[in-house]
Amino acid sequence: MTTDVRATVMEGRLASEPLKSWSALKILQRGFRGVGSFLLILAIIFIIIARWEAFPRFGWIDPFLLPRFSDVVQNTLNLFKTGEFFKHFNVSVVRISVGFFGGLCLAIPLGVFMGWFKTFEEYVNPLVEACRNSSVLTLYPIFILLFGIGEKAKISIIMWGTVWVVLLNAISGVKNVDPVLIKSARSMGMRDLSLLWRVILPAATPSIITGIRLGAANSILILIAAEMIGSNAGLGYMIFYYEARYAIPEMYGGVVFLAIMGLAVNEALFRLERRLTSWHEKSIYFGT
Amino acid sequence: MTLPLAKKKGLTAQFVFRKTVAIATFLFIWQVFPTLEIISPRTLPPLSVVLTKLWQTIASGEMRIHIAISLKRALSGFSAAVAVAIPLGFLMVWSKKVHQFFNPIVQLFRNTSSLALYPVVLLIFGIGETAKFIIIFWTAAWPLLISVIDGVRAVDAIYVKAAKSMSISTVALFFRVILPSTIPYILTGLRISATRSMVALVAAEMLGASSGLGYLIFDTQNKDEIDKMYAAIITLISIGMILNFGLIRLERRLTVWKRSA
Repeated sequence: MTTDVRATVMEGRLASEPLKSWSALKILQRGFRGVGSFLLILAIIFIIIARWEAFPRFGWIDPFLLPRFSDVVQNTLNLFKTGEFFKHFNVSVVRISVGFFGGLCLAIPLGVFMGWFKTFEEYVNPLVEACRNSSVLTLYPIFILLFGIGEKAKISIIMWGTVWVVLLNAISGVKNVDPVLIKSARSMGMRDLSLLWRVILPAATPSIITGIRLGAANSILILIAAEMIGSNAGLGYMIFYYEARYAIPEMYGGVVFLAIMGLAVNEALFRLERRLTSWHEKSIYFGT
Repeated sequence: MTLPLAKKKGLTAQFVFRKTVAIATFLFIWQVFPTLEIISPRTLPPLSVVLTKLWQTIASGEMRIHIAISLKRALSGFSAAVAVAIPLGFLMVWSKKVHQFFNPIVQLFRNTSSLALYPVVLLIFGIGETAKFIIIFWTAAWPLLISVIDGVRAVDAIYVKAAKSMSISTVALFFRVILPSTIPYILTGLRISATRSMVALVAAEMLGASSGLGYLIFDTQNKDEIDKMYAAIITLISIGMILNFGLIRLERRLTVWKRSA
């Protein structure tokens, strides 16, 4: 059991190690050394882009396989202008937000409930573990069978990918609240509801947020896969479509955009985490 | 002496019950609901039908071919990732400068969904086995790389200083101090990358393959052979779980020293 908890915490770190070095404000606070590393990062990004521009230009890489960076930017801007891009973007955003937030709305209350009623949790746990460990994409055909090829199947598979991770993290968060906190609240005559609201939920927040970050990473992965496998709109479809049409610069534009989107989501969740757990630095991570 | 033993025995019976009752209920519903046509057996055939089909496809050797191909793809990508990412991870945190140099790239790619790169891989390597190998390798490599980096950075500085004060050589420092304390991280990383490489495997096989379990699932769904589809899904999920379980066992065995301390 302990290894599992550690695995999920670890997974959370993997999905999104705080991007300290990326946030300019923090770097300024850190002073000169920080500025140095910020410049280093800028330099590295610059070098990557410069190589991306130079290699195809001088023919060191086949420009068909890797078009010049400037071409990619130009073509992607074109997609922005024609509105083609936003068509796919909107579809993807609707899918992922309904699936992901729907999953959160289901999983967090249920997880808190299950963490609270430990006996119930003990009985259900093996099933939850089994669901979590079964590869999501494997189940996609079943969802298609149940809901057809439309939006429902995609949204529900994203939801499925979100629910279990968040659920398990919420359960372990609630279960692992320091008993001293609960006992002292009780000894001060706190009733169940306010105990839940004022002690248990705040104490479980870091773990829940780890789950949310993992769930977000999962849901982006599943979104792209679902859109590639059977769809006619969305960013995943767009990338695949342009690849099939040999519109390679546009394809790279989509890939770069997805990469930036991943970074942005991660950074946003990291900030949310810092805000919500500012009172609770560190202690839950890697006490082991 | 007898009392705790009896108590322990009672606990195990209860333990077994607790561990199995939910899954048993699930399997029971799977069997009964389609039989009574509460759920249409066309979308969900009863468990017994699926298991019979599973047995038939295994006996006829058809399933074995797909299992072998999927395993070959998954294991070659995964083991290549292990062979490359673990040493590379250690190299990347060799010194602060090196780590700072590589960190931005690592941060960028850890957050890039590997499947987003699949079209690029297809473009460069074609639809063959190489593309599948590369995408599984890529998916599996990042969690491993990151867990090695995190593990080395989490080594207690006191151990390193103590070892150095006893004038340990760099090689010995690595093998006797850094490597052992990194192992729990590496094992966690192994499990995560095993799970992710299964996802990548299924995606790659669904997107343009003519064999393998992922292909079988998608193909049978298209041909409306639903019981066979469920049989393939069960097989694939079992493989994933066996892999995961094996890695948990390995983790327990290799980190005994940590538990006892």
